[in-house]
Amino acid sequence: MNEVLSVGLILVAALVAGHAAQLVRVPEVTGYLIIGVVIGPATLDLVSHSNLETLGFLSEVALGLILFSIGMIFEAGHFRRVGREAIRITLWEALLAFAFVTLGVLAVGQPLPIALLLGVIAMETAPATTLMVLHEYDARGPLTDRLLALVALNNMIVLSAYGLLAAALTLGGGGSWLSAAHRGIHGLLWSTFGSVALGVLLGLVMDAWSGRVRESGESMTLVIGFILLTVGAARQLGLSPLFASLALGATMANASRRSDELLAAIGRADPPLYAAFFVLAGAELRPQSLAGVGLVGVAYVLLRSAGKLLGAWTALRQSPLDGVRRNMGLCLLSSSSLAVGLTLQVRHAFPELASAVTGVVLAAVIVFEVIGPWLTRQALLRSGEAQTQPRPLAD
Amino acid sequence: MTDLASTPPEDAPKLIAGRDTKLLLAGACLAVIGVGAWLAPRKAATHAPAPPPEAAAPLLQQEQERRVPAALFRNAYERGAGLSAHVFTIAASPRPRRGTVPDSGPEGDAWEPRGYAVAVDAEHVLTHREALEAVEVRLFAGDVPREGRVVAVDIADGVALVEVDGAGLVPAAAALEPAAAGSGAVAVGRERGGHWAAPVVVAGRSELRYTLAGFGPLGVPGLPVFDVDGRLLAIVTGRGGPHNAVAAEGALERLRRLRSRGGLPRTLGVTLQALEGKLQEQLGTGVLVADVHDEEQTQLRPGDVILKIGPRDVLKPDDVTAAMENSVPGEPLDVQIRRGRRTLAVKAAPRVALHAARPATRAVPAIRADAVFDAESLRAAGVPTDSRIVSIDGAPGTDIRSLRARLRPRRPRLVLFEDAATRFFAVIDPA
Repeated sequence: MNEVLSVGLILVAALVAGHAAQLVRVPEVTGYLIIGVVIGPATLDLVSHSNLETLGFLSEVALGLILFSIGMIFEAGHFRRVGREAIRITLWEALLAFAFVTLGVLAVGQPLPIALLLGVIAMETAPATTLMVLHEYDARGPLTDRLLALVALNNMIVLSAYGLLAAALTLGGGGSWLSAAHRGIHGLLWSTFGSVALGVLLGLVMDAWSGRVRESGESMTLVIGFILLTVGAARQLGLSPLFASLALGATMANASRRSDELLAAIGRADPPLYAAFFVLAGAELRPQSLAGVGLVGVAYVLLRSAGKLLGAWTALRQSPLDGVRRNMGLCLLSSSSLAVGLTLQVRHAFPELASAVTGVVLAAVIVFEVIGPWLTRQALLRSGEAQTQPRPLAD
Repeated sequence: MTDLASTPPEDAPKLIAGRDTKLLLAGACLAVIGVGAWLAPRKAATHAPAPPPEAAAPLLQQEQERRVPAALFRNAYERGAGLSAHVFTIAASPRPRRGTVPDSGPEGDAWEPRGYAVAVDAEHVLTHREALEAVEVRLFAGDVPREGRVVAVDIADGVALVEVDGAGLVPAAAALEPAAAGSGAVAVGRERGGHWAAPVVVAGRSELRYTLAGFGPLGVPGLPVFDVDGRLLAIVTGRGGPHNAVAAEGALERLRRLRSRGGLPRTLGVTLQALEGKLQEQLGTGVLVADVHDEEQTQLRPGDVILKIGPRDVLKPDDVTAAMENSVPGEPLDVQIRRGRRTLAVKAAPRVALHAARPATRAVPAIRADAVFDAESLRAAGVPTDSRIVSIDGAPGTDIRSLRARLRPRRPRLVLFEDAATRFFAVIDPA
C-alpha cells in the first residue's frame, strides 16, 4: 500500500475507532491504539512495516506538538502556583517506581544494568496519552493543573535519568576511561542543556516573528513550522527533540503575549496528527509479545503500578485537596511514546541489553496503554474535573 | 476580586520580557549550543549543518497597505440597504413602553431597542450581552416581531448567540480574513421602517478585537460591521469605549464551543475573592466569599471559604466557574466550606446570569478605613484609605471607639471593606 493510501486509511480508521470508543465509553485514545493493532503488521498488515518506517516522521511531528503544548504549561505564574506540589509528587512517584522495578527485576534474577534501565523507563508517564484524555474530556481544575505540570516534569526527569544512567553504563563499558567519561558526560549535558538552549533560542525567534503574524492560519503555520524546525534541528545536532520541544513551548509561554492565541491555533490543526500518532503507535505494538515476557514482565507491570500509586499517595497524604489526593495516582499509569523511544535508544547504545529491555517494555506498554487512559478517565470523572462526557452516538 | 459572571482575562507580565533580556538569553543559548557542538566527541561533531526545511520557508507575506476607497464614504447607505436584510433590532423583554421610539412594533406596543443582532445562520443571530436583559428576547426586522432565546454567552468578550423561533433568517457571509488596520468597513443598523449605515475605518486590530473610527451611533451593542465585500467582520461591544468591536468569526467559534457545555453563564449570587498572600496565610486554601447578593439563593455567607463543590476541589475562582458549567440552574449543589474553624456542608443553587452579579442596594458603612487603621498598614495591604469598614474579624463595626478597642491586642486582623459598592477582605497588620 502506498503511503498516501495508508495515511488515508489510518485517519479513517481513527475516526471509526473514535466513534466506537465513545459507544463503549472508553477514551478515544484507547480506540486509536486498538485499531492500530488491528490494521498494523501484527494483525491484518494493512499498514506494513515499510509504511510505518516511512510515516515515522508523522509521529515525530505529533510528539513535538504534544511536548510543545505541555511546555506551554510552564508559564511562570502557573508553575509558581502548582509547581512545588507537582515537583514533590513527581519525585515520589518516579523514584518509587524506579526503586520498586529495579529491586523487583533484580530479585527475579536479571543483571543490574537491565534492572536499572527498566527502572528508569518505568518512571515515565505518557505525555501524549495523558494530554489526549485531558483534551477529550476538556478537563479543568486542581487535579488537571497538577497533572499537566507533573507530566512535563516527569519526562524531564526520565530523560535526565536516562542520560545519567547511559553515561554511567558507558563508563563501565571498558575502553579508554577518559574517552568513555567524555562521551558519557558530554552526552548527558548536551542532551539536556543543549536541547533546552536550542528550544529557548528557537522560541525567542518564534516570539519575535509572532508579532508580525496576523491571521489564525498564519499562526498555525508559524507554530507547526517552528516545531518542525526544532525537532529537525535537534535530530541533526544529536539533541533530544522531546526536551527541545518542551523548551520551545515553555519559552513561548514565558516570552510571548500571544502564546494563548498560538496554542488555540494549533488546537485546530492537531486532531488528525494526534489520531495518526496513536494509530501508528498501536500499529507498532505486537500483542503476541505479551505471551513471552514471563515473570520479569509481570513484575515490571505490577511494581511500576505499585510505585506510581504509592508515590502519589505518599506525596499527597497531607494534601487538603481530596479530589487530587484520591485520584492522582490513577492518572500516572499510562506509558507510551517516551518509553518506546527510550527502548530504541537502548537498542542503539547497548545492543547487548536491548532484547531483554525492549521485550518487557513493549509488552508493558500494551497493558498500560489499555488501562492507563481508562484509569485517567475514571480519575477525572471521580474528581469532577471532566467538563464534557462524550455520549454514545446512538443517543 | 472576581465576580463569577465577569472574570477578566489575565494579562500578567511575562517572565522573559524586554528586548535586551531576550537578546541576552538568545546569545547565551547560542553560546551553549556552540560550545556543546565544539566539545562533542568526533562522531557527534560530524553532523553537517541542517538545511532549513521547506516548511520553514517565509511564513509571512508582506502585508499590503489597504486604502479606504473614497467610494465607501459616498455610497455607504446604498451598501447598507443590501446588508440590512441580515440585521435585527433587539429588545430584551416583552415589556411594552408607550411613547418610546420603537423599531416597528405593532400599534400601541412599543419596544425600546437595546441594540442590534445579525443573522449568522438560518436560526441564530449574534449580538452583545449589553443588548440583552433576559434569556428570552424579541427581535424586530419589520412589523412582525420574532421571539428568541439566548443559548450561549461568552463572558470574556461579552458576545451572545440567540436562537430565533422559526428558521428562515438570511445569514450574513463571514469575512474571509481579518481586516488590517486602515481597511474600510460599513456599520449597518436598523431604524423605523428602514436602515442606517455608517462608513467606518479599522483603526487598529489586536488579536480578535478591532478599534473602529467613524461617525454615527457606533456605540450601540451588537451593531454589525461589514467589510468592503459585504461580509460580516465584527460586532460592536458597546463596552470598553463605544468604538470597540469583536471579530465575528472567532466569537462565533467560541460561542458554539460554549454552547456544547451548557452555554449560559451561571452564578451562585456571590462575589468571590482569591486567597493569596496574607489572606492565604490566615485562611488557608480555597476561595473566599466576599459578598452575597441573594441570601435566599445560597447558604453561603461572607467570610466563608469554599473548599469543594460536589466532588471538585476548589483553589481559585476559576474552579468555581468551571464547576458550575456542569451544573443545572436551580438545582442545589453540595458545597463544602470552612466557616471559622468549622468545616460545613451547605447548599447553593446556581442560576443563569447574563450579567455580572450586582450587589444589593444598601447603606454605605459609615466608618472610613483610615479612621481606625494607620495609612501605612492600609497601603501595605493594598486597601484604599477611603474604603469603609464593614467588619473586623467577623464582628460588624458601628462606631470608631468600639472598632479601635477591638484591635487590642495588636495582631493581624481579617477586615471586610467596602469600596465603590464592592466588598473585599484584607488582612491588616496594624503598626
